[in-house]
Amino acid sequence: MKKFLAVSIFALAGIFCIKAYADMDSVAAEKFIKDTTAEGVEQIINADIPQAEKDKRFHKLLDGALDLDFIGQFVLGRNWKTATPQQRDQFITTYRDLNILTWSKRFNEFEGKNFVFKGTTPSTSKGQVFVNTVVPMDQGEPAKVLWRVREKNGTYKIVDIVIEGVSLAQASRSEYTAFIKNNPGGLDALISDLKEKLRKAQAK
Amino acid sequence: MHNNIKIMVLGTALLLGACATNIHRSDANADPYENVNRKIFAFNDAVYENIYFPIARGYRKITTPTIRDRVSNFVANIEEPITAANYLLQLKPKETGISVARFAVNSTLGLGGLFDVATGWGMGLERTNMNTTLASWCVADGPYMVVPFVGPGNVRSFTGMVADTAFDPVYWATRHDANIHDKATYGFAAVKYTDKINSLMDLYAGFKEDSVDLYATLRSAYLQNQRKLGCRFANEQDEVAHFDFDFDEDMDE
Repeated sequence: MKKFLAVSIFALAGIFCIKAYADMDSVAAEKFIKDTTAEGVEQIINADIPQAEKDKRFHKLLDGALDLDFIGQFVLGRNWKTATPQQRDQFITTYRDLNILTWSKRFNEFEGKNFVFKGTTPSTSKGQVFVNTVVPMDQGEPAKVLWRVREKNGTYKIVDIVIEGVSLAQASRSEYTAFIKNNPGGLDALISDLKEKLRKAQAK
Repeated sequence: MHNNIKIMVLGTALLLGACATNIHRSDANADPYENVNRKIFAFNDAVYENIYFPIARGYRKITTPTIRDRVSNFVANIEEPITAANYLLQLKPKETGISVARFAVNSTLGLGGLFDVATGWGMGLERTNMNTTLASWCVADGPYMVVPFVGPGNVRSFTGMVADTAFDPVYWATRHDANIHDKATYGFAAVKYTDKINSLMDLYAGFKEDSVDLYATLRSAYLQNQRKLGCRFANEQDEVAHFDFDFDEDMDE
C-alpha cells in the first residue's frame, strides 16, 4: 500500500511537472532568441552604420527583448519587499537604463561571432524555458550561453543569461544584496551608486 | 615519494571534503571567512593592478595577437596530458581518447603545439582539472577562500591545483637533466601565468567597471561555476537551470 501511495504521489508530481513545462512553447521561445540575436548581429553589430545609430538600435532591441522590470525585482531579492514605492521606481528606472547600456557594450563583443542553437531545456519556474546556444570562439573552447526566456500573455522576454554556468541575474542579486548589507546607506546608497555608474557610462 | 605525496593530497582532500558543508548554500553562507577574504581580495586587487597587469600590458606591447595565439596553443598543448589524466580519473574514456589524440596531433603536425590542428579535425579543446575530478567523485567544495597572489577558490579547488601541479609535464619531462630542469620548469610557469593573466585581464576590468561590489560579484560567479560541476553518485540536476527564478525565494540570506 505504502509503495502504491509513493508511486501515485510520484506520478502525480510528474504530471504537475509536465503541466508546468507544457504551458511554455519552447519552439516559439527559441525562435524569439534566434530573431533577437540575428537582429543584434546582422542589423547592428555587423551593419555599416555610425556608432550613435548602433546605440539607438541596441536600445530599442534590448528594451523590447529584456524583461528589465522582472529582472530588477529579482536582483533586489528581499530588499524589494521592504523598498518604498519611490525607491522601487528609482531603482527600476536606473537599473533599466544602466543595463541597456551595459548590454549594448557586451553585445558588441560578439562582433564576427555567431550563435549556434542547441535546443531548449525546461525550467522548474512556471512559464520559463532555457534556450541553449554555443558561441564558437577564435581561440579555445566555445562559450556556452543559455537564455532564460519567460512567456507572459503570449509575449516572450529574456529574464536571464547564463554564460558558462554563471547566471548574470544571480550574480547581480548577490552583488546588490552584499552592497546593501555592508553599506549604511542601504538601498538609497545602491541607487545613488548605480546612478553614478549610469552617468559615467552615458558620458563615454 | 611522489606517489606518497599524491596519495596524501588526495586523502587530505577527501577528509576535508567530508567535513566540508554541502554545496547547496547561499553565497554568504559558503563564505564563513568573508572579513578576512575581503582583506586578501583588496590586497590581490593591488597586486593585479600594480604587478600582474603591467606585465600583461608589456607582453601585449612586445607581441602580436598571432604570437599570443601561438603561445596560448603551446601552453594548452603542454597541459593536455593533465586534462587527459583527469578525464581518465573521471572515467570518461571518449574525452580521454580525444585529449590524447589532440596531444599527439598538435605535438607533431601542430609543430610542438603552436598550432591547434586537432580542433580543425573536429577535436576541440575541452579542459578539465583535478578540482573537477574531485567534484565528480562527490568531494564537497569546502569554504570559499581567497588566497594571496592567487585569487578565489575553495578547499577542493586549491587541493586540486596542488595535485595538478604534481602532474606538471614539464617537471616530469626534464627531471633527469639538472641543467635545464629549473630553467624549463620556472620558464614554462612564467609563460603560462603571463598567458593566463593576459586572457583574464580584460574580463576583470569589465567586472570592476560594472560592479558595485566586485568581491560579491566574483564570489557569486565563482560559486555558481563550482556548483555546476557534477557528482557521479548524485542524481542532481543543473542547479542554475533549476533554481526557482522568482521573487519570494530567500537565496540571498
